[in-house]
Amino acid sequence: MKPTSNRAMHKALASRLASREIPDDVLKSLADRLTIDDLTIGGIDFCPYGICIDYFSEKPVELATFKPLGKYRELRLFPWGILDDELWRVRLEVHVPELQTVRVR
Amino acid sequence: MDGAPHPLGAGQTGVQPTVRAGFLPGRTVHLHPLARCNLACKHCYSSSGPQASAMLDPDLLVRLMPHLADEGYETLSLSGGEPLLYPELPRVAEAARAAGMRTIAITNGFRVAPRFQHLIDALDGLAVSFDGLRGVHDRVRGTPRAFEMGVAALRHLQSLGRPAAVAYTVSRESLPDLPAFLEMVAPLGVRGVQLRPLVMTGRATEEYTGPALGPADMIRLWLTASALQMAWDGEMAIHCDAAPAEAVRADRMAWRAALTGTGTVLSDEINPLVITPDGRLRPYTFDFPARHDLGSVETFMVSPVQARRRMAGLRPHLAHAFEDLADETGVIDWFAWVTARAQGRAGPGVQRGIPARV
Repeated sequence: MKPTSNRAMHKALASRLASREIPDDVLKSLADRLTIDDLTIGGIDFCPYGICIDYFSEKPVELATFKPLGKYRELRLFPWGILDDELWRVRLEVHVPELQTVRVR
Repeated sequence: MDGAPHPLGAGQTGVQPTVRAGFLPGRTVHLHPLARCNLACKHCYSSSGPQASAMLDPDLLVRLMPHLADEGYETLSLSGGEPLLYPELPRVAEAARAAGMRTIAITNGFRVAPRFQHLIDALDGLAVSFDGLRGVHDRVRGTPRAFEMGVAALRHLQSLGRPAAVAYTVSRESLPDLPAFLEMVAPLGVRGVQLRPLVMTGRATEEYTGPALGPADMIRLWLTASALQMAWDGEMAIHCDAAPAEAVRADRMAWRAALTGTGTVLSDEINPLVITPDGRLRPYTFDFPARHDLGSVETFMVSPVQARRRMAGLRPHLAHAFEDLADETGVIDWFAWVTARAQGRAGPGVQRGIPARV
């Protein structure tokens, strides 16, 4: 996707969130779903599939850990490496149908 | 690895601690030199207005600046009241600069105009405060000229080639305006936007309770801000004073000095330091309980050690605030969170005076 389209998508999503098109209870349940014990949310990005979310973990991570997230498309695991070899970064593309139907003008 | 950013906070995995004190990027004094303001906003946390008379002696403030710098403070952030109404603002700002501090002010913009150039020149940076687009902003500020004057201030700073920032109060009313507001201010040379969740204190508790943010609003704010940060990346830096509770918890080592009493200067443990218009030194927020005041400006200049000793009574509340995060899955304003605990209103999900929603 071209950078300009990414920017437009982020703006459209921000407008949809800010204007309360997505109900409060949906957002609350989404936040609960993304919260996983022993994993720290390091950052999020938005993509057409839903949310790309970065977690950090100091323990070995098992796939079953991510079951509460529901559908996810891709999981990438990085050692934090030079900065800290005990730390793992886990990036997932999580399916978030709640955020779909964003209209990019 | 000294000073390297670490996603879980320095110290948790053996990384050397950084010089960061708390969650702010720098060590800051929020100075409220006067309570007087030309406006009386419905949400004003300091209940400022035209009738308010409390004001600090400029001679006292000039003498105070080197003492603040000695305690490690790097930035003097002036607020009020309206700081550009303070009669001897240039002299106080000059004293701060001479002590090695950066000077900034948060203003409603009415005095950011050519005839007050000496005030603009006295400061290293200015942030203009907004509460939404014109309709919401003017209603909150109580005058139909407020929005126009704020925008005029940004235009004037742009014409001077001065960097400008915006402090945007996020309420249930102003959040829907935010994306369009950023589209409007980006061409005016605004390079930084701070999103500040509405604090339910001061005049807001009487005149502006409806737009208070509930737990779901805080999640909405954080997600909206995240999307906007990506949308405006490279053009405007957007900072949101809200974060997922678990991210705050993971970063607790930034508070190590305050939690363990191992600071060597006051700014190691108290950041930001608030100075009220009646000369009290207060930890973190304007509405932090007065029983935790660190003393007065006068006593601080005589003995800063006394101010540091006063921290001991605060430490259990800080620890309690972090312990409470363990059960919280939402998004919080940390300073509101810790203030609520110090006020004795504990419990997950409790923001300052915010009615429960969702």
